[in-house]
Amino acid sequence: MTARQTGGAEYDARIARAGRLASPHSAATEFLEFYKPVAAFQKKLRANIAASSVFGSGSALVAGVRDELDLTVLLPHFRSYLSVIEQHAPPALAEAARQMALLPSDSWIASLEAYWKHAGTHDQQVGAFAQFLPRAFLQPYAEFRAALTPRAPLVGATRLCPLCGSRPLLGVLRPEGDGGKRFLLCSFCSHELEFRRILCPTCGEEAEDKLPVYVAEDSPHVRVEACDTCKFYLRTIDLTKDGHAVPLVDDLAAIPHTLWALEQGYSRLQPNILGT
Amino acid sequence: MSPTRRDFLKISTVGGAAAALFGFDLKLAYAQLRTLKIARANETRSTCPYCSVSCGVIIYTIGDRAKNVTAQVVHVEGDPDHPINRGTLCPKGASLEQDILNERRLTKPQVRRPGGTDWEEISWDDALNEIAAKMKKTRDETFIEVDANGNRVNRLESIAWTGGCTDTNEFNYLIVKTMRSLGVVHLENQARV
Repeated sequence: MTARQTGGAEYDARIARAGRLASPHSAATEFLEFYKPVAAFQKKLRANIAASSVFGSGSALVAGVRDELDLTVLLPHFRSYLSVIEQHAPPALAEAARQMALLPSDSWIASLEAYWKHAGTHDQQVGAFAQFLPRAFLQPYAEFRAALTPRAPLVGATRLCPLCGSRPLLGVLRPEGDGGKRFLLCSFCSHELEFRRILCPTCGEEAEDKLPVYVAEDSPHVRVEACDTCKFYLRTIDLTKDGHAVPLVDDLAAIPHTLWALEQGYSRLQPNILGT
Repeated sequence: MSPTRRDFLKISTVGGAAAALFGFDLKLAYAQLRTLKIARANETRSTCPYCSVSCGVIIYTIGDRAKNVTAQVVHVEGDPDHPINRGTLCPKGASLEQDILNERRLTKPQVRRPGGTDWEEISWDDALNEIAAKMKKTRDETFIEVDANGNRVNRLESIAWTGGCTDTNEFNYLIVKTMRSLGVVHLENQARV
């Protein structure tokens, strides 16, 4: 079992970053404090998945990320997941987790299977609670499978994840030469794929004057990359400005940016797990 | 009675309002939203003008796009998608922003007279007239119609032209036409630097 399969270091980095951001980002403190136990659970779940007899050999999967959902590995952990949510979430979400825990296991299976099928593709029609609960639970499994799935060379500028077909959650600018190369971070399996700068990932707009970038003075590494043609935006975390940023977590801390973009009439292509 | 899955799915909303529905308090976020100082920038692809390598750059300009406001260049960086430089820039390219913004860049013609120690500003008209007069004088005095063997050559060896890599294709076309019509044979360009 390799570190790549268990993903322990990634989760540790996310939890630590959430801890560091919680205090200076007072508007997001509640979100980040809630995220920490969720990420801690995800870390444990990912380690359990990696250690399970089905995947323990570490051989590369032949099928794609989404082809198979092994509930025999996941289901035993679902009740403890719901209790983590019940314990740490704000009242409405905690109540949703409590109610979910009361449902029979075939309802859990149906919910998980339905989300597994539609995650990142048609999940905007799914309710917030019905989206959050399976999404946060299934994410470690999707990330684990993505880590084992062989990468094929990309042809053209695809905007959907080549491994699981989901929409991108974030853009990430990573240092390349004297600039920043853009990657799209998959909203479900967290796979990163290269994506051209100055190109709308929603509608393919390339006109430079239609693609404004909005940056706030006090958080220069958080960019709102908007498109004036389709009115969608991509949140992008610029690691050339802040190398300590952890995109998934810095995204959660940028709630004022979300509200600002909404006020300007821009919609987000895919909200994060907390629905912002 | 336990809720059904259908009941559970009914408690729903779409997109960004989910956080509020979960019960997160957004009051502080709304308060911070009012204090956010957000600037609009546009990214424009361009080509570094310094040498013939033609590295790709991305130029950032800010401005609210109002008609009476000139967008201001605030940053230039390498274009990571450009096949030639993949985001890298040499020190000259990396300081390209200064090519536009530096207060010491020359914006008017200057002349240093023979024997003089200082540069003096002159108008564009005066500069062009002086250059034309000196070129004509030089050409009249040194134009070679026939060489030592009596062959007609019609050439001018006392004037040379050197161009730079910022010269456009069209500009270079005109230069060659102009210089050749004067008889200039020594044409050079530093675009291979």
